[in-house]
Amino acid sequence: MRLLHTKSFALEVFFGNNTPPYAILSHTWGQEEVLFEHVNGGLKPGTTQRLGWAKVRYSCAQAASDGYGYVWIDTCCIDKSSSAELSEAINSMFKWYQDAGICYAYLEDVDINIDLSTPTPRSAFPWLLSASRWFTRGWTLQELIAPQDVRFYSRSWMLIASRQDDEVFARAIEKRTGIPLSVLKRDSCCYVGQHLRGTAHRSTQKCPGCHKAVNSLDILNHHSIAERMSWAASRQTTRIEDQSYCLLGLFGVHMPLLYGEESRAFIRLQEEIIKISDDQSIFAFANQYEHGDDTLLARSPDAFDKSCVTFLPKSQNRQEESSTMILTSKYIQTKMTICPCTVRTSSWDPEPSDSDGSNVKMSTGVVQSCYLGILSCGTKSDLLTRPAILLSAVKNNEKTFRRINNHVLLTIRPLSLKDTTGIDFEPLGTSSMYSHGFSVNH
Amino acid sequence: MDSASTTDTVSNSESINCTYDLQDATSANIHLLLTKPDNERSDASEETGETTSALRVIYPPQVKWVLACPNNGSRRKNAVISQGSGQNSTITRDCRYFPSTKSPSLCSDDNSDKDPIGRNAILCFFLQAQQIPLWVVWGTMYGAFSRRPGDPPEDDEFTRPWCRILQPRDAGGRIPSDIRTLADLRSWATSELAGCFEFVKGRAELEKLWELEPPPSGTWDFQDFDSLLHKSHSGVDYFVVAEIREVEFLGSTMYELEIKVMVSAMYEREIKVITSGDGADKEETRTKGGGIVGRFDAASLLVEK
Repeated sequence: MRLLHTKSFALEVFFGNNTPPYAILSHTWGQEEVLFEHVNGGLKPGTTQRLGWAKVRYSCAQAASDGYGYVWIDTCCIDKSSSAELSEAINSMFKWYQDAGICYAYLEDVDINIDLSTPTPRSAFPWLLSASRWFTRGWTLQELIAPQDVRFYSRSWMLIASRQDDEVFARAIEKRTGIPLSVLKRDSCCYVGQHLRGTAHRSTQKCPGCHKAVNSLDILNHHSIAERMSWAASRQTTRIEDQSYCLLGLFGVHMPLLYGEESRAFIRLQEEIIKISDDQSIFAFANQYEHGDDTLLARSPDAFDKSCVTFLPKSQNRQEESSTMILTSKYIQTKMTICPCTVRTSSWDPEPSDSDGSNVKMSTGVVQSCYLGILSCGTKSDLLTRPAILLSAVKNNEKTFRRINNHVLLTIRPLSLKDTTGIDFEPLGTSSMYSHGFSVNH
Repeated sequence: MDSASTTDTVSNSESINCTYDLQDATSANIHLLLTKPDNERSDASEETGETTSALRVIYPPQVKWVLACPNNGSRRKNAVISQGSGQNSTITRDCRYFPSTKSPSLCSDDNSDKDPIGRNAILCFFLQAQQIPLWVVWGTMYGAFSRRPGDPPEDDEFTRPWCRILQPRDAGGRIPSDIRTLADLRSWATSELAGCFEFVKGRAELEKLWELEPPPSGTWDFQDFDSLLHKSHSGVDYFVVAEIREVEFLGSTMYELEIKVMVSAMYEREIKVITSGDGADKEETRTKGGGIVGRFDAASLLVEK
């Protein structure tokens, strides 16, 4: 990897264990960034007049002050004219952020006027988080999660707070992003010793549970695929492919970059995930409605928005040993609980003609026989509920199904254990919830 | 999504009702097609494998448990226990009775002659073998949702309970986000009635409780929630009956917690006095509502190795 010397601003290349301790910058791209060609072989004339120079200078000065000789900045430490280098960088970026000694998150659009002798008012945190573009971008998701610590700085490079040290701030981030505090605080990489009140030791980053080094991916692996996808929902990237490429590290997968493939990149990402994971929550999404779209996989991370799907405890998942997912070019083979069902689809006018809402126009719907595919995962609110998808059997092949109505995700709850009829279920990831049946907007 | 679909989103909604019987559920190795085949046709009558019984009551539970019973003083002469509350004999030694209490989140109900009942509580009990605390937060849904077309009748909503089984590991020892969501929901509901300030206080206390340590090893214990439920409505004869039984659902053995909200006829009389002047002073207890409110898998409480 290329690192920028914090004092000479010279780029140097390091490999493997020879890489020195370094700091890393997380930011959103703006105008007149300092690029590779501006610093390669020494600072080019005019570089220091570029708008992006300020964050380079701030980062280097802060890193030097914190005892680091080098800093990594994505604008100038990657030769983007080389597709091979760009591919390596994107596939390695999560690890680079994880391995960094410290990460500086530069919130260029947050300008606070604070007295350096006093901490940032706690009441300002929610505003800071809602105001900054940094929390809306796709790439910054892994940059928030992967590092051991992230320190947030304002436009004028004033320290706002630390993700690791400031719990109030971490809680505000949790609320803003949906990422659990356990991921942000990196207290433990395992669930051994559930009542441990200790946190990972700052200098050694040892987990108080397993006494091993806290590893970001180990922490992430305690969260289902659907849950991790939900963190990425609604985040934007300049290029649509980057919506997928920026998630490689979050799932511990690698894949070649094919700019131009557009949304196909997200299908490839899911396929790569299925190759290494048996987590059926990857099917726990609801696509935006599109007539005739019956694909098995999601079209974008947004389909997992508001997903509350989580793993089942091992003791509950009796299918665990045999539910391995095998991906082929045409289908995914897996073990799943399926249940015949009858689906009646009706449309209705949500704007009632009477003010009391009693006169709702309801049209006769379509009745269809199909199957529920009950996923081996639960929901955060109740581990005993099961997300389910609708499947249609393929003629002449009793074990082949295709997903239908992929704009809905059902929840099966054991409301009537003694009377199995009329169990209600509701959509996940939609704003409409009904007690009987369910409703979706499309 | 094209623009036509976007327009549909604004103007139309779709309601889908699904009917199924989990007795017909099977577990099978299947192929899920990645895309729709050209010659695909559906046939729901296909047999899909061996049918297994997905739902089965196994046997009465052997799990010993202790429910927090705050504000015992408000229970009058153990009337519910001695009279059996009209419940059948299945409510035996494994059951504990405790009075319903005013939840901070619904204390505004005090001023509501429509619904004077506080029906929220937080319980905590510990499984002896694992010493893992299990938090049971429960209540009934009344007033929690605005009604929409297709919603059940109000009586059903009134009796419909909610419950969350929580464990510290759900969120690194802190109250997990789902209960926050639930709390937010109730905050909203309460604000519809009278305001949400009390609720905010309640949540802070809830979070404080979450930090409590488990009891010493080898003992049975329960947490006293008097501090949280300080607004307990003493003297009001609303009771809750709780029962745990072991059942099986979709291949998982679990424990089912049932909460029934009981109301003393005397208290109903007091309401009637206001409305009709009925002065009858007869004490009996009847079921006001309730049902199965939560399920948990005791085995899931085991510490993962």
